[in-house]
Amino acid sequence: MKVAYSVLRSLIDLTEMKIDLSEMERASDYFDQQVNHLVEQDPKLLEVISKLEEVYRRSEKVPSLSRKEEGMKEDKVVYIQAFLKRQDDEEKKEG
Amino acid sequence: MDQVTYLEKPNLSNPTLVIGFEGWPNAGEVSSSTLQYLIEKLDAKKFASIPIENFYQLSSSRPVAVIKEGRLRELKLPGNHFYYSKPPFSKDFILFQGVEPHFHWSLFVDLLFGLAEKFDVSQILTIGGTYDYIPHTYPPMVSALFNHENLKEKVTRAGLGLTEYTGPISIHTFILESARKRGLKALSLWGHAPQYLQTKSAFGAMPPSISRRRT
Repeated sequence: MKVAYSVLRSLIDLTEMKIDLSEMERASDYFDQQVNHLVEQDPKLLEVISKLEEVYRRSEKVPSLSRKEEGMKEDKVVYIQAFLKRQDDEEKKEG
Repeated sequence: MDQVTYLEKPNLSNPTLVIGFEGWPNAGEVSSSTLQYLIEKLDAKKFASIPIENFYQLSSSRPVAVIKEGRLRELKLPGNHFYYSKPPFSKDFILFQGVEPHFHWSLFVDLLFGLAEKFDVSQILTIGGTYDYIPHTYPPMVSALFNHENLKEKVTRAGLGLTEYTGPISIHTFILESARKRGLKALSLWGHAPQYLQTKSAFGAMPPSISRRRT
């Protein structure tokens, strides 16, 4: 969601499109909160992110279009969709 | 073979064509989310479709059924639809929301460009998503590739990264090359999603505030 928001902003710059992005901005913030909550529960993932931040800080990241096949171990991948669905289900139960 | 089917033929003035695909080039659902948002916020109206026959292997990308209490309620097939928008005080747009075809890319792209030529499309942009080794804690990266040197300044001015890549391609790059052969300028925007946050299906997590109109 956060990435889509950035893409939309770039698209507006390139096309002079007039569009209200406030809803996407809110969705992006919501998504970010959920991801942060998820990440906090996973020390291994926190470590991975910390390393990525370090690399990011040291080098000006060059767009690489790296893809899935370059490989990241399954245990370091979070399926955010499943997580958010679980959250929704829990909220529904509580509600 | 296949033709574009029209619901109506709107009167558009040199529209910009924005293209997005579900499938391989939709990492992080960047492409589908962006197109869905545009369709809703530009109040875009569906006016044409590319039929799915001959383009998909349905046994590898299966249609989705909705079955309730034993009764088949709905069957969702891949869709390739064109929408148009004529926003006030702004240029016209054609939005294409589809699924990356498995077969016959040349034919598929011919159909896309056939429509683009019919409506005198002035510029073509494709929207893709890719996984990358970047942390979600930093501002997301958006990179671009283009098919004509004249677009470089535009891309740089917009603060976009210039793509460096050698490897397998998606239909986006095929579209850019086909556009170049036709003398059309086209560029592709890529949102980079963190590798460790993956979505498993084409229909991912959306907060409740954003509805999904899938037609």
